[in-house]
Amino acid sequence: MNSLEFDNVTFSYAGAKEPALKDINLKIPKGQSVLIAGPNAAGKTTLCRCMNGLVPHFFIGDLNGKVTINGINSKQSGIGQLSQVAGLVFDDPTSQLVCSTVKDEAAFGAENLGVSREEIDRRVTDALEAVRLIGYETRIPQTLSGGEQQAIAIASIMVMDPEIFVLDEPTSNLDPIGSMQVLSIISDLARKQEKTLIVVSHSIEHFVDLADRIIVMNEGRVVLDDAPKEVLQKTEQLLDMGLSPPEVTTLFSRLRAEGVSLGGGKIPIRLEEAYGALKNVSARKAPEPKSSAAEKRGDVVIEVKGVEFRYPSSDVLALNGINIEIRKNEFVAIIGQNGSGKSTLVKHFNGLLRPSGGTVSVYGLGTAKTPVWELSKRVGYVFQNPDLQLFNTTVRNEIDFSLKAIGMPLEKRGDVVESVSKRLNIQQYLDTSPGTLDKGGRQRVAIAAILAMNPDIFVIDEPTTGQDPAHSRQVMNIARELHSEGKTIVFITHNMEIVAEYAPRGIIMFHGRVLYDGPVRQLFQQTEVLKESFLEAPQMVRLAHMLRNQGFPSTLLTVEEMGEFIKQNVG
Amino acid sequence: MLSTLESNRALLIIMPIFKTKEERGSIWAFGSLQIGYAAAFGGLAFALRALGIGIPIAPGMLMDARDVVAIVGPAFSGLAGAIIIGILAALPSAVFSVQCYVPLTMMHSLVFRYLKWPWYHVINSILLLTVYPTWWAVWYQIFGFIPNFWVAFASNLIADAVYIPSNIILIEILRRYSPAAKRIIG
Amino acid sequence: MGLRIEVIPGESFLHKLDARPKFLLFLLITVIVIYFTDPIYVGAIMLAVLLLTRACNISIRKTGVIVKASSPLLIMYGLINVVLGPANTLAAKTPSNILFYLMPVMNWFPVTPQGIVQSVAICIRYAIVVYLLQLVLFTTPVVDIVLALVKWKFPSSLALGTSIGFNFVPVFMNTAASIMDAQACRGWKGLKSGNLADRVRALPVLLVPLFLHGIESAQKIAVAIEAKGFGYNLAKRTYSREIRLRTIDYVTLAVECIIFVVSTILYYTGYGTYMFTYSLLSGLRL
Repeated sequence: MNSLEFDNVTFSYAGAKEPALKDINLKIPKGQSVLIAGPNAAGKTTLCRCMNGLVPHFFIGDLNGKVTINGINSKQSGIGQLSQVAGLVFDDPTSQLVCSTVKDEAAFGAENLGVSREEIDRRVTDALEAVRLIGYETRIPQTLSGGEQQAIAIASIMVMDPEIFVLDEPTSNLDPIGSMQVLSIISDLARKQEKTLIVVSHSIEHFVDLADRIIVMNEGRVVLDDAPKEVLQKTEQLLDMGLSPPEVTTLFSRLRAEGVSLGGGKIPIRLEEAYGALKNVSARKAPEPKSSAAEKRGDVVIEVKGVEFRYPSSDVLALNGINIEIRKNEFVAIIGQNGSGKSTLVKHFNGLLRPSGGTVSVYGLGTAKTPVWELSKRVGYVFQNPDLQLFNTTVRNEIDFSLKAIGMPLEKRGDVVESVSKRLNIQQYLDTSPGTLDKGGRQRVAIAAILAMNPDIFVIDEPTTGQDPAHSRQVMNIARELHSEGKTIVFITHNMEIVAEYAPRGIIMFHGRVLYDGPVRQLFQQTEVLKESFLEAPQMVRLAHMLRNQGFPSTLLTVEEMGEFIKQNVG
Repeated sequence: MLSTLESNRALLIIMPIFKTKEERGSIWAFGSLQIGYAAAFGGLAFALRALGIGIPIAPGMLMDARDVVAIVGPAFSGLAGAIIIGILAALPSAVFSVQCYVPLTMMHSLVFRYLKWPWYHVINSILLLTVYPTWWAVWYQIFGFIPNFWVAFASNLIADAVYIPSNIILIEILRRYSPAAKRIIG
Repeated sequence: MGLRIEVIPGESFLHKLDARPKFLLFLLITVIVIYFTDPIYVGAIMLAVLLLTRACNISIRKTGVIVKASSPLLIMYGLINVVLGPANTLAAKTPSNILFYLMPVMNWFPVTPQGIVQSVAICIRYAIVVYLLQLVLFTTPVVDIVLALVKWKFPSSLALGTSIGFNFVPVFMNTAASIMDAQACRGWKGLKSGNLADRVRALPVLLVPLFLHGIESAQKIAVAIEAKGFGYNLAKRTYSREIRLRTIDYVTLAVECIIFVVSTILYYTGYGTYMFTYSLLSGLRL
């Protein structure tokens, strides 16, 4: 019996104009591991919701066709019953944890099913052991790290002993350490416990080893469905949809398109395969890729001197002796795990936080005594979650709010609103409510509101976390444009591919200290530092390292650079 | 026995005020969604009070943001959920406020349940100027903190009068911003 | 506001006590504190509460933070009672009792020693009621409260909803703080600047995103508990924790009954009013 069967399934949410799922036909056998990928609004989450009965019992709508879960027709069975067969884990770790202690959280599902107390204890211990959280029983879930929270979420599904595990973007809100933690649990589920595993994710690279099958969805339909090796051959199609295949795959696909063949066979999907295909290429003395020549260094705009910072209820130094200078028109990435101090540091740039020791000055003005709204005129801070800021009934008012707040006279405001909205492509929405836009649109409105104030420095807080690749790039491209207009950009991330592609300068932080501050090209050479802070260089950099002995310069950063280099040396 | 035309006209007067049965749902409906709303808004009210967020009106008198949550929240959570919101809103000041808040939140949930826009604004405002200060004054008297009924009444009246524009503005913005909110509140 | 929602770990009397007699104990103290309007009686109760705190190895200072935070309110209630309290209004009828007037020119707001005595009792009363809340939170994990409610035949969904609400409080406190930070970055000056009208207009800047976040969280909570089988069979739901009344609980309940009966008798026979201290004081002075 198949674990999951979708027969001609079409589903529309109540009140929606377009169906979220169109003509889905899938059969997923027991024990298979499937990766589901696709751009935003492709229907991946809706598909997951069908797998445990949330659709159609909780999310009301029109479900045509039949969804069979372990032989049970989802329309004829309640969610409670189906939860014993299929368990669902969501992307936001905090809002799926409802109990006061880890043990209670883990037991919650089993309690709901009326399992006896002794059995619950046994299952909870087994589950906590499987996710490596034995000893955490009395901890409070909300105080744990993102990775630990997701581990608890998975444990709380395990105690219900389902056959099928569905994980909807389990790592997208986590830092690299958290992702590693969750990935190892997931792979245990697949390999050791032989459960049927459905994972929705944007990080194809991480799941390519685990998945037996990749299903790509777009606009509610299944467009590709095959073994990973096959699906990833269609690289251009994936890139057009805004997905991020592994960098080596993109590399080889592009090279092939440009006529550079490196032996026949399929496009590699793993780093080792790429190395295998390239190891017989030996580079002639090719010039180093052009590193940015010594540019004229601008004046210092942000100066951080000897800064220490302690949060009010804590003894730990969140920032421990930071000395940084940011100059005009720089493009800086601040990298590190959660809790490394990156957000804490950048919040000092506009006065959201004041140092416990040392000084921070922006354009020569000390931040200790200047209020946030004053500093916001020069330092624009783009928050990760636009929904924290939007509250007006029209987009126009939303942008206007910032301008009114900083005291711009009425006559000038109208023009600024128009020009900013045109630039961010939201002009057509000016008189509609921001709540009707999708996440990307709302993010652009929030950026517009900051852009309208015309600050000289932009701080962008984690544009990559929790976003699909297309959206992250959208924000980063806006940043690049602003940079070319002379603005200074500082952004926080732990996505190394984005760092390699956009930022000339990188600062690595770990436990409140700066471990590295310098050009990104050299950053990726610091293997010790990267290891210490649990960061992994992008695939291209790792590939270049592996090919050192063939004369590949290890300072290659991106797919473009690697591609250029190979073309020059093979063609 | 009213003729069809007359009965229709009678309905026309009542219809725009009261929500239909379909719009309402069952009174004690308390599924997971209502639990979610109750927990979320209750937690929100508690958090706002714990953070001390409010507008100082006079020294020692704070217009608590949690009261706005306690007025608008029950629109989402229904009657049973309103009990939860009341309990959680009351706890941060002292246990004794629970019996003050819970009947009030339940009252508001009924207002939102039965009335259409803009009548719920009207009734809420009337309640805030009459029932609210009376109820609070009674309990202040029992506890003895403000022994004179009229002083207690007057001081609560001032605070409640400030809540009226706050919750009207909040609801109007929510209705326009979010179609989901509009569907629920009406 | 100073209220800490955390449990101070320990093995003391209060910690071991089942949530039900504990809750009744606090209710009892609140009631008898309302019975008595005499500062010495109420002061004795306060002393007892403080001794209890100490006996349970909980820092009085830490629990007292919330009293300190509420002190403006406390002083205000005290002052109101000095003038408007029943003790004062009664005593002011006899002009010889009046010490001075708050508004001397018009002879308004007389102040009598009886009034002062009673208002001191009121202040202590307020302090006790507020202090008790913090003490409850320090010694009772939320889950015990939920279980107690369920044992009292509270519908389990209500009990669970309350506990989920409790658990989300720190999350929402963070969100509220983030929203205020984020809006400050757009030039918003916060809730404390400007006149009253400005402040009322400033409130939606915080509340709208907060409410929307609340609505979103509500849906996520609902989906999460559904996905964990919440509605499966509410009647047959099991609980991995068990609370049972033990000897210590029965003894406490018995003691509570005795205290209640004694206090009620004292109340109805006229003891414990402000006259007690007043006569002591006048006896001392004269």
